[in-house]
Amino acid sequence: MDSPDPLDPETLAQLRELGDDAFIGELAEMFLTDFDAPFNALLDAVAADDRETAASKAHFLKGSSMSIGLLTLSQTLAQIEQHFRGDAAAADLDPGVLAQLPTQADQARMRLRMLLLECEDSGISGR
Amino acid sequence: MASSKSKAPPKTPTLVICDDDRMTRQIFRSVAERCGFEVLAGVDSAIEALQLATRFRPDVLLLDLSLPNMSGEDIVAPIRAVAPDCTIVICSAYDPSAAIRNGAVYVVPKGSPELLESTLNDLRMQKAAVAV
Repeated sequence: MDSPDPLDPETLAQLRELGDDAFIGELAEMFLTDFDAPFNALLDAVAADDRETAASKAHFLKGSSMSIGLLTLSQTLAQIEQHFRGDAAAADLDPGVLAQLPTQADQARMRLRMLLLECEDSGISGR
Repeated sequence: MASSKSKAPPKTPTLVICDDDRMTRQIFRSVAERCGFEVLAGVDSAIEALQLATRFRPDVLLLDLSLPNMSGEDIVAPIRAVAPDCTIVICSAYDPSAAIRNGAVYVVPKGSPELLESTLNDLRMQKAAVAV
């Protein structure tokens, strides 16, 4: 069975209204370039129970994921942010939420790399 | 007899973007330009947004709330004081209630370019009506 597309088609359609393939490709490239540093910082902060950093990184990544339409990833990050803004201990976070985060992040990266390639191919064939 | 005075062309409304994610800034810039705004700058910190708003008094400020060092809600009241005609639109995945209490008027969630576009189109028309 195919897994669902991590990229929300409605958000992508709205973004396509704003610009051509070069614009969409630029957004995908920005997301991919800017994702890993805060994502790794989030994982480190969770491991160290650094609540403030974990909440702040989760919030940043939630916003950028939401902006480009990675809604499932954004919802998982929202759960992590909410947990670390509250009083509960890191150990109390539903292990399922953290366990699915790396997979969702990989799926998001892969999907945006595909989108970037599609946009680049379209630019080449359009020349 | 025709008047010798010619009508001045309508002023292009101006806008500043403040968000710490450059991809989101790029999306906001594209929406704002599509709505007929001149984007004066896109910045990633609240202090820069405050400086720009004080200096240029833009018609609109698109403001994220969760920002490094100083939060977006901390600059809402100071901007309302120095640039009362600047409409502050909160574009954030964060609770906007404090920013609204301080004078922000509109709230648009991230990931809704269509909603942002309709908000900015409304604002452009309101600003144009006030300018007449």
